[in-house]
Amino acid sequence: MKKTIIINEKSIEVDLLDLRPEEIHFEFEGEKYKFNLQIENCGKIFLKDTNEQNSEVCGYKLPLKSGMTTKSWHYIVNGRDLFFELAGRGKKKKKSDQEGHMLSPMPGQVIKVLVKEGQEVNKNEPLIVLEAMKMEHTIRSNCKGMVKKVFFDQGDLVGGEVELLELVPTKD
Amino acid sequence: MNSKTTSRKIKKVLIANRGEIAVRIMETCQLMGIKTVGLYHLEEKELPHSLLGDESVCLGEGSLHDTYLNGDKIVEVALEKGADAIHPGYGFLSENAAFSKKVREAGILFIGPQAETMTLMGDKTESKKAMEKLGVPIIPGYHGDNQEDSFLKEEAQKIGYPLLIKASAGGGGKGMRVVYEDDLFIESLESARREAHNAFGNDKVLIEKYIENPRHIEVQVLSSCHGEHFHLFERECSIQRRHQKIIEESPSPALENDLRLEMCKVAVQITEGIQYEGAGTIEYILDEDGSFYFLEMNTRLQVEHPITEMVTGVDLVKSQIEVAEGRKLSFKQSDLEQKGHAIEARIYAENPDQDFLPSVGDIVTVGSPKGSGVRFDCGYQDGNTVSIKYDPMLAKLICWAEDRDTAISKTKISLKQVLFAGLKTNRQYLQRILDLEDFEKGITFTHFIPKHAEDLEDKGPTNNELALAIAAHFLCPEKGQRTSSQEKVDQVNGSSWDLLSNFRNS
Repeated sequence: MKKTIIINEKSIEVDLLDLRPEEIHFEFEGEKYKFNLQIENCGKIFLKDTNEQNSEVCGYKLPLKSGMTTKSWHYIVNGRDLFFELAGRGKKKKKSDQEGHMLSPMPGQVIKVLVKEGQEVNKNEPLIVLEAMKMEHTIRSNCKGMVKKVFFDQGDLVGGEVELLELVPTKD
Repeated sequence: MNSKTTSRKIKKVLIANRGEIAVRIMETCQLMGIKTVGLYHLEEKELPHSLLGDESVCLGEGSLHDTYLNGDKIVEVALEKGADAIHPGYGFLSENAAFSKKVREAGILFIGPQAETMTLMGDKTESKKAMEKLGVPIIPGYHGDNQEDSFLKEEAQKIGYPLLIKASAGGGGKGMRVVYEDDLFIESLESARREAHNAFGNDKVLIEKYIENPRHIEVQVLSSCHGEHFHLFERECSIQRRHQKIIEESPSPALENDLRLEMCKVAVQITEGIQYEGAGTIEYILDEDGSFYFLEMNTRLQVEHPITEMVTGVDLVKSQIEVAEGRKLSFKQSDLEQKGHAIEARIYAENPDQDFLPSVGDIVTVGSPKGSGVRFDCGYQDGNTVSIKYDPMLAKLICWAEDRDTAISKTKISLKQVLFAGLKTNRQYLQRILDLEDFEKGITFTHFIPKHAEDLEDKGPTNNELALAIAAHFLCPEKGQRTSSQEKVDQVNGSSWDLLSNFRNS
């Protein structure tokens, strides 16, 4: 049975070949893996592979974020953080990285709007200054273009991944 | 000998701070048999610093100015609770001379230096003038009162680029900008002023020569009111991101003993020169050629004080309290030695792979490393929320060992055990720093992070690491601790169990 998991924002295909209470067999990235569950105790999961190699994984199911249906887990393997997501229904696609759409990278306060609607801007030009956790972060244009709409004013509080400003990209 | 010869025993301390440092101060007070009063913001009632004091008082739900920065209210609470001393921790009101005066005028001991030295050292401009008089080396720059854009720009051109713009009242990297080109000067100046204004209520700045290959070395000092002026050796804090320290160590791998003693000697010369009282830190910039310049003095406990405690065996908070009580220090300079090696790694709620953006959210579980020589100063516990209101530092991991190499490997092992489930932290990033050959060799300049930006990029998980997580995911669908009943229902109806039953049916 094929399963898709989003791990650290990347989509990964897993083919589950066999799953028993204490044993799993699966294939991913062209390799077959088999692990035995030794014990699970308060989020610490002890696994053994076919070469008798012991490994410890920490795993925690995370509370649902308000208004979201995405289930998520946090695993730690060898000191590495792996965030798993299984998308539920109705999850909106992110607009980030799209040319012209400038999103707030985190919740914070708008402390300065440096451009006006209708203004022409170059790529990497400072547009808006946000403050969070007492540090300033300058939002810069991700393309050359014209400011179509500024959604916030100085002093406004904004959430994370909220569109701050829309640019109409111009071609050189 | 100073005029203050009568000592007064402190019985109850109010801690005008939050997070890990409030908890750390409470611990020493408890060991000394001193009662503690903690303060907290309404939103923080579940955080350890709101719970671990003998008493705790809610400051309401206002802004920082109405809560942790509201000196009048804090003094009022201290009087009401019968506290005979206030410990300000670091940040907030710790270097606010007006607050220390207010505290003392109310008949309460302020655990910190005299207001006059705080005012002097808190003003970067005035402090440098005073240091010049004492014959302490300082960096070329403009530290004057003329704050006109065009004038500062001219001064900048005289000093030459690259240069540094800093808030006169500043600290902790807030209101600080490095400028590499003349064209960017005005933009950086404005930004530094705004940040300075928001953080300190004062937008005055100074500019100075930017040393290309500097190390940040600081000396811990401790003075009593009986004319005792001691140093507790140095800390190297060169590993910084956005001008904020993230890894510190003591001793510094860069210092030969002669240079170490020279830097410590100048530090004591300063505390003697200004008749300092209490714990403080003399910060220096060390150039590659071995010349060092006075940077600033912090008239409070530092975030990274634990590494000094680990190598000297001195409890700095205990010493601060003894000095505030008007007592002599319980040791002599000749009793102090730097034993072994200590490293501190600061755990921040941030995403180093996205320009160190702060991350906020709920901590499902906190996992603390354990072991001999391992200390974990943490301000959060299971179920706490990290908000955008405060500094994103969650905890400090401090590891001590006989020598530097062992201290590094102990830090690496312990970092793996540090856990803030549910939050993105810089833990792995700290591991990557410790893994670098330059760090191992002690080639640590303050531009270490930008220089190694490429090496420090996340290389992504290995397939085996992913496979282990996948196996754990499917083998233990119920591993949720702290799952609410609704979530349990969701879980049973949802993916994990669905998946298992579907699988068996298929």
